Amino acid sequence: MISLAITDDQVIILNGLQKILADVPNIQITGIYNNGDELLEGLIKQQPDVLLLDIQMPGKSGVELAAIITKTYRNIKIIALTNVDVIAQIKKILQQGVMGYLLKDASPEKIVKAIETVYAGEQFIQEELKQQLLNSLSASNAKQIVTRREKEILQLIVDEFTNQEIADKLYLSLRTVENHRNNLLQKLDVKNTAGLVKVAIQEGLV
Amino acid sequence: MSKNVNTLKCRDTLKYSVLHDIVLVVLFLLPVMDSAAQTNEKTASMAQQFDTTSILLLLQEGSHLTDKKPEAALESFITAAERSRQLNFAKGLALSNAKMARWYFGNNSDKSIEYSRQALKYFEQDAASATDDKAEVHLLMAEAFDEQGRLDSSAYYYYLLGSEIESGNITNPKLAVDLYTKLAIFWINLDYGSKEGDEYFRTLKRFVDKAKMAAVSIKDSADAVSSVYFLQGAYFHALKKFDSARYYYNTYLQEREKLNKIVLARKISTLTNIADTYLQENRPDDAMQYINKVEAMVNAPQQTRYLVFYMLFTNLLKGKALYQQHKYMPAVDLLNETLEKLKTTGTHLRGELLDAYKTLANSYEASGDYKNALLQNNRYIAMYDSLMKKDKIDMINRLEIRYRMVEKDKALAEQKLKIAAVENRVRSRNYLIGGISFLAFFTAFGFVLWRRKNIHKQRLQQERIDNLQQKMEIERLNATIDGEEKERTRIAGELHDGIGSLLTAAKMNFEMVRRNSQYEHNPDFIEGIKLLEETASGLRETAHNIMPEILMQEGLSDAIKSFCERMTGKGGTVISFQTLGTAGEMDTSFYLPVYRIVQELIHNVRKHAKAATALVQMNFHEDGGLDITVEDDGNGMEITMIKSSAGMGLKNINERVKQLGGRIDINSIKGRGTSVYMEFEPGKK
Repeated sequence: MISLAITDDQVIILNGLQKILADVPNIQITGIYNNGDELLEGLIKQQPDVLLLDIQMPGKSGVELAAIITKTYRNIKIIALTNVDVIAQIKKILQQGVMGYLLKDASPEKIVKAIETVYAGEQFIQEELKQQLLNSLSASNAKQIVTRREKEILQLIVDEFTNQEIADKLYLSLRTVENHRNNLLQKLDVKNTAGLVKVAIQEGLV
Repeated sequence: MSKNVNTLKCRDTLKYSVLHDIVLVVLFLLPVMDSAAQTNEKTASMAQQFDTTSILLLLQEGSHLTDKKPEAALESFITAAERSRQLNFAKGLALSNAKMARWYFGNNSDKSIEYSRQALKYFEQDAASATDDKAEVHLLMAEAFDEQGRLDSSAYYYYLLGSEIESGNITNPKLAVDLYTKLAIFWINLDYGSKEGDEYFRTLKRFVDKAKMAAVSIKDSADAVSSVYFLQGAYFHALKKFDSARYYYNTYLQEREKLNKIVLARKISTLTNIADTYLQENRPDDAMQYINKVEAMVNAPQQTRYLVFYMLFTNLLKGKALYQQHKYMPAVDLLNETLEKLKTTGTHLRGELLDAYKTLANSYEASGDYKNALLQNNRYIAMYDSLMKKDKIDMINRLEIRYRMVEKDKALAEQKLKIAAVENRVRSRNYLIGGISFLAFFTAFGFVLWRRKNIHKQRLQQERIDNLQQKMEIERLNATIDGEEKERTRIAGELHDGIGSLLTAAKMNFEMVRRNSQYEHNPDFIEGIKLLEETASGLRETAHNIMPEILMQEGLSDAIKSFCERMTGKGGTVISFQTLGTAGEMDTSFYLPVYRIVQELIHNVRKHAKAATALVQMNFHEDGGLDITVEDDGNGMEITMIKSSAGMGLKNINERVKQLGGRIDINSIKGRGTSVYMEFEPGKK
């Protein structure tokens, strides 16, 4: 038997979830809370195995609450239940030790599956979100791309044009050229023009 | 025996008698008295009485008296000098000394020169002294030096005066006539000996012409014409045309007497000159008539003293006449007596004196006294040598040449003056034109400056207005955005939390129905639930698009990154996102519009570019600046398209970037893709 607590500020959601889970034999709802404060108070008396936690609530936010609970009650498995499907948000919440991430419109089967999965000590993230998360992680590790405009400017730097000359040639402000140049220095991880030229040739950028 | 003209002919103007010892005594005594009786009020009040005007009047009075009462005249001059000294009146001292010098000319040439020098000294002290007054003294000195045979000094003064007249410094025409007359006679006497030739006569003629020219300026025509007769007489005298000479001399006497403008000395000179013409023709009886006329004229004792010098020279002529009449002994007696007396009247060395020694020698010879004849002849030769020293003559010739050069220079200068006057007229006209041009130019310049300043001011004002308008526009826009965004936030929240939750709840209910009833396998029911699911999902998407919560919570970078990921997740163009630097604090009013711009750019790429990949790059600068690149590898655009209405979306973005105070650089290559680069300086908006 899995004991479950639900926290949501919207009564209809609470009712809906209760109805869905009422028939599930191995799940027993032990607590219903309307906000973070009620939840923290209730947890002192009774700790569920799994907690369904709405992330967007007035008062303490889901992220804050997750941080407190995972620290205080290591055994409570938290599933974020939310309408927010933004990767950054998901990452943040996962970083707090939350085991599952569910969108509120998930099917009852999925909800039950999620509860059972985290109870078993595994992570549960809704399928479509999982893909996005993976994409995001791979993208952040990708090598910095040099933009076309930057390549153009790099070529001119290699051709020994000064910033002012480049600006005049491309009808850009001096400031803009300086920005591009600084970006290149950062991207190619070099300190000066000589480095830029060296790397540009090595990497075949020009 | 000689062709010389008696120098007596040039003795004229003012003469005064001795008494000079008394003058000196008085002059010496005065300062002594002054210092001895400084407190003597009587002396002081006396000095007060002699004002300068009374001194000048006294001098004038003395001048009038000269011929009739020469002694009284001299007295006046001495008194004037004495009073001038008391008053320290330089002009009075100068004039009185000049008058005394003139007075002594007929009595003692040494004294005459001495007083002349004094006069010149005082003229130097008197800055306001008239040039004409000084010139008279110079003339007197020229005559006096001539008298003493110091021809070089004499010539110096004559030619100095000549230059002065040529330069126009001497304005008195009478003085000029006088000068030329005396200069001519000086020149004639200089020819003592054997000078012949054209040059001599040309020079002489020149002086006559000059005198005539000068005389033209004399107002009274009778005076003007007659004043030159004496010189004309002298001229013919020198040419040995004695009849003509005598005609002019006689006419001169008649005319001048008619005008009452002849002084005693000049009268004597003219008469003795006539006598000389007869003597040169060896007509002593005729000469004697004129000599007698002179002797009859000068018989009063004071006049004999005043004119003692003239009388002695008349005696020399008389001696010559006696010799020609073969009255040798009376001639010898008269000449010896006269020559002895001449020693008391200063230094003398002149043609007449030489002649006298010659006559004396001849008389001795004729009377058989060969010893004395030889003695006098030797004297004659010695004097002749002394007078006719070659270097003196050379010097005088040089002076004459220089004088002529001065004349030429003057003519040249006059010509130059004429040219200069013409040039000046032209120049002043040019200056006028130049001045007007200058003025016009500066007026124009000033006007242009003024206009420019005005235009500049207008421009500044316009700029200020533009700035203000821009600011207002931005503020209005911000206010609009703020309002719009608030509204969006409200709507998004409503959709998300209100309608979204209701939808979710509704779906949950239907899920329950499905599970607990026969509807579980009813496809319509299942389709209904699916639609509800899709509606909820779409609502979430819409709500997110209307107001991305993540923007508020996580900031611009994450929001854009999230958006890219979401768009990539939808398929089509793969949108990469990369960021450099660290985002600082940013104002909502800044990152919301930037987010919208990037959102629109990405939508454009997905809709129009047909690009396989796109890149969104955000670079946060250390100074708070930000640049964003949105680049795709799609089909690109024509430059004309970017600018034309077809690029409405871009134009819109352009506007919005500028409203945010940013810069945008759109770079598109047909077939290779588009690159949009934007930079913002939030702090400097």
